[in-house]
Amino acid sequence: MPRTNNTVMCIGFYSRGSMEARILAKAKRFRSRAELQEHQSKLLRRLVRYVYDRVPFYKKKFNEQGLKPDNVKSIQDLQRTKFFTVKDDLRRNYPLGMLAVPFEEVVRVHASSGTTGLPTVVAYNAKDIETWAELDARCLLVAGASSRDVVQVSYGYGLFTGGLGLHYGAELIGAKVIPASAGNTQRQLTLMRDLGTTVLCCTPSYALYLAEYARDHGFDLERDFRLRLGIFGAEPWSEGLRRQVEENLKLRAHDIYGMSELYGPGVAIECPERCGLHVWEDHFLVEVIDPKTGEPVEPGEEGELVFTTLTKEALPLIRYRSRDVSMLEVDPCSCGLIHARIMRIRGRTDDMIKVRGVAVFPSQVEEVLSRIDGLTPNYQLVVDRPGALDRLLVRVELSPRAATDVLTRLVILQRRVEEELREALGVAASVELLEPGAIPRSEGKAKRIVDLRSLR
Amino acid sequence: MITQLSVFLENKPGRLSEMARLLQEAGVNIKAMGIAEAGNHGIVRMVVDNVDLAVKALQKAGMAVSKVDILAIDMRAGVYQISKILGDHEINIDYAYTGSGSIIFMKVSDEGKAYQVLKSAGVKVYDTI
Ligand SMILES: [Zn+2]
Repeated sequence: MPRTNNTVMCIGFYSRGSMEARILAKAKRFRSRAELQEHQSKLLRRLVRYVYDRVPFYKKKFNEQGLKPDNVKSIQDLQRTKFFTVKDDLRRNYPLGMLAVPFEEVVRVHASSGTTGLPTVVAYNAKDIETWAELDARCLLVAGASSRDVVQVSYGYGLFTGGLGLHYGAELIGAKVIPASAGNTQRQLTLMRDLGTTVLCCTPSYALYLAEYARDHGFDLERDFRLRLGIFGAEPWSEGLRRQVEENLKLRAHDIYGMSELYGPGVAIECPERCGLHVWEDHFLVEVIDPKTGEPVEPGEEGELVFTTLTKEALPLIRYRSRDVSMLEVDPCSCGLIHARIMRIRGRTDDMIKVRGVAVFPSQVEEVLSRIDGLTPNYQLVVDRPGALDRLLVRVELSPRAATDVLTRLVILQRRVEEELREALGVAASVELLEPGAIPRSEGKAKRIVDLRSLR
Repeated sequence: MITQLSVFLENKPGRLSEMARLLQEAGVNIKAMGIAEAGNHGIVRMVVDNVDLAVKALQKAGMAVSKVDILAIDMRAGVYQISKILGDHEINIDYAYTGSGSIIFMKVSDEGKAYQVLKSAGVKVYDTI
């Protein structure tokens, strides 16, 4: 594709500093949300025509909905329908039945493991790879990285998009990249120390593990390392974990969001304000819907994030249901970017329960339990509806270390958990302290939710 | 002073008997026992004839068990007499229970001081049972 060559050539013409400036200028080129939305609608109209002509799956879908591509002027025209793309659509069209370009044009594939056997395969043409690199470059710059940084990419390289996504982004801003990939922690830390890594990209849980390993294996976290910035994502994490990682690794941690169906990491990033993640709306049209009804939620309400890819060429997706639950903030951010912010991902729609109309996630409960001494991470949420109202019960095992002869201590502990849960969840829960080992262990994913309402 | 074991149990049928079974199988005898409950859980407080063996057996089963020093006092001195002596010395009784025989087991705010003042008032306080 000639376009691609032109843009790649540009890197040669621009000095490093001006490359950074150029990428940032592109992120900041919209003066108002109205201007941005107009741009989105223009790209959406083009996209609808594009997929109708090129992807039989979408053509069929439009026809089924009785929608003519020319009649889609804005996202509202799609919101009136039940037009969504879900992960199962990609699986049913395995491996690349939803491709919008000839296979010859594809330059890369990635795949995510499926729980049901077949992986979900995604494909990129040269232009997609270029866009993706720019998105990650933006993320790095907005988080505060620059060409002077030494960026260690400790996300997995390979079929997983994490490693290569950040790698291309870091290269594009002119940083020095250490493609460490995940694992081999001793070598990671040695390179980090000896090459003076300043920016670490990995999952938050691996960051925490790196810190523990360093401490236990004779590294001096204060003196040996020059880390200042962490770009952490690919799994939901809490503010509690952020504090731990920041204290342990002596860096500032930024949350990054993405998924392989939307290129990979680089869809959204926390700016220095760290009040939500700016989503690159010139490339993604993001909506928040009620996962049950499919209707858009009121502004500021929580729901499932739905993405339409406005610039992807090889595998564009219309109203793709992410199954991630969050909310959208469109008010201007003090950093100056007008791109809307998605708030920290609260969990997956699969894990969400509604109690008296309030969405509750096991992850929220877990965060509360994890910061209170005397409890184990073994817990269960039980919801029932004895009368007209839902009732939430959180059952948690007492830690053997919390054994006491003083009953009051247990009662105080129980009340404290109840108070903190009410604060965190926005809905009252009663707490039951259980004997250690009382909750059945399972070999796979723990069963955290028992919903007795569905049995009635 | 003697050692009391406190075991955290859920307040539901079968839990106490499960604990007692574990002790019996370990060859431990319960000399005295009191139960305090609060809603769905409670604490069983007891005096046994072999503390180490009991702790081992209960912990092996995953139970939350703790040890604390308490007083074993000859009740024949009179409950009024005993509690008056303690009260006169600003010592608080947190809880008490009895076992077989005429011993009352007491958890107080200051075991060392209580031991001394009772002894000097001629009240019998056991060092073992
Ligand atoms: Zn901002």
